[in-house]
Amino acid sequence: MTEQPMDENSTTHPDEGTIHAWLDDALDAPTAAGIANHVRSCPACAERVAEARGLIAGASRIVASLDELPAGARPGWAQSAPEHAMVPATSTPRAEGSLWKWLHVTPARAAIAATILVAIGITMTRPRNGPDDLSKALKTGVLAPRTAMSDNAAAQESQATRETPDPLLDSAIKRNLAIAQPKRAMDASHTPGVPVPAPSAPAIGLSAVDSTASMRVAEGRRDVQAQRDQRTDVADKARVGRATGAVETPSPSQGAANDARSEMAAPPMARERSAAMMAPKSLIGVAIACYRMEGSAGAHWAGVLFPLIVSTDSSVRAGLTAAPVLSAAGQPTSIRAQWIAGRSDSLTLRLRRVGYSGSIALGPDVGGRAGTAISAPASTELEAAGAASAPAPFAPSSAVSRVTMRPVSCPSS
Amino acid sequence: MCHLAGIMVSPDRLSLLFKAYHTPLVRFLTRRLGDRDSAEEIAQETFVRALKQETITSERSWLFAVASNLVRDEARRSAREQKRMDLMKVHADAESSAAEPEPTSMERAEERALARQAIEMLAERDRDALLMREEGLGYDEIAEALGLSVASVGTTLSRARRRLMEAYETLQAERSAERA
Repeated sequence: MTEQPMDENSTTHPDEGTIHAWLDDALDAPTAAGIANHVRSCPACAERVAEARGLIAGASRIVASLDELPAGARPGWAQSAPEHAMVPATSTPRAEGSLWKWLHVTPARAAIAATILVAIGITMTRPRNGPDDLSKALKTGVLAPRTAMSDNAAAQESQATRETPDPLLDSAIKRNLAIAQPKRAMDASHTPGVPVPAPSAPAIGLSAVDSTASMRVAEGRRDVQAQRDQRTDVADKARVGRATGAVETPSPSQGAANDARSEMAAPPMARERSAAMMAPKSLIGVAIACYRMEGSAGAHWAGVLFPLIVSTDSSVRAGLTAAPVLSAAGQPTSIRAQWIAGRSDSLTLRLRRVGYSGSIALGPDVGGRAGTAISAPASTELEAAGAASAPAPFAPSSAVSRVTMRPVSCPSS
Repeated sequence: MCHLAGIMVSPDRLSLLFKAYHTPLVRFLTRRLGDRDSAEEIAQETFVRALKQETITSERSWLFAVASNLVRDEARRSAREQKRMDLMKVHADAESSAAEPEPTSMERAEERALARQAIEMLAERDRDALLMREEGLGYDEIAEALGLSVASVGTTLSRARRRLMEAYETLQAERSAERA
């Protein structure tokens, strides 16, 4: 690397390493200024700088493609390193803000926008069979608000003016509304205790839509907006519920109450799925072993207080095994974990809880295992975007504690 | 209760370290190893070592340096164990490819495989320097973690980037020729 500061009149061409250091903002100010001036007046070096920029961007892209998750799916908190640790990294694309996040574009919003665009496009391009001027349109009520007509009148009107069915428009609306309406039953298992609305009737009676395209679009927009509002309410409740319940006390009565709320709120299929995920394998007929994990007083893992009971079976030695986590009383908790068999008879439990990241490392079995439990809150970018308008009132805390693990008999239920 | 000897770093401080650096460290290790589970395990061991460390002056470079050393230790382990990990990875890849039948996922998987091959073709020091830089480490931190002089980090990075691009383009060309 060129060590000497460069001035404007320097004839020394910076080597490639210095150019990369300059582009990485790793040089002191005088040296950087000298290189900037030199590059301005040296076409050959300007060309090398352009090439280096390409190499930096290309290498960054290749490295980013090593990741299994698509960009933007990693925890949001991980993107903001502490201020003292932040280094201007022009070659780190993840450090930059996401345009999608900035625009607050969610799949639901994108689907709604697509529906509207398709409908408008078809309306604008299809042959007009109806009135072709504004006065006629107003007289026939085509452009009048739907509230101006009674339902009967509207039905008669639409029956009378029914045109050839528009399968393209209908399928587009169906498809995009389906995308815009996430499967609420799936969420019940992840947010116990949060009321989840029963699947609502289709927002638009597609088979009975007889009005004009513009009316259908207007109606669809209102219904989708209502669903969006409803989803926002549910999401807000879920966030508040999760935040206020960040540190769970594993009392049997509270666990039972949560279970009851969850069962009341969740559809049957979601209840079955949730039970299958949370129950120890003994409940479904597979022999298991259970272990009691003790921590210091007040210690918790992802918001759930120790002691905890985790279970496993002999297949842990073959790789990864799901490990249900129960309270000391044998009640299911909101935590799920995964066993990872390590070297030298060590074990790692990887935390599986939405909104948290963490693990427990356990040493060799010497009549029990000892190790360290670590957990910290984590929110995904999607959650961060959704919570932008209504931030959670309480931030759960991270935790580090030493733990011990010893075998116990599995809870009977 | 378990009592570990020689613990000087407070749990609170380690908690802050974990929150700040766990994800970048796991991502660095996953990119380095190509295996998320091993990456998680080594990251965990790194933080446990931090817990036993009396003082850590430059936290990020210390964590990345320890993680890099653990990766090297891991590489020296028995071939049998390595084979087991490879088998696990093959199973994981097979499962993930089975779960991602869409063409876009296939393309991503293919791109990832090419990137993995290209990154494996780099010299170890070049690869570590590049991956650390991609995690936002400064030149001084990279130098400290890898035992280099700060002045040589730019040269190391420029070489790593150039070779990575060349390797990737070569592999891409070979792949295209195979399809043609």
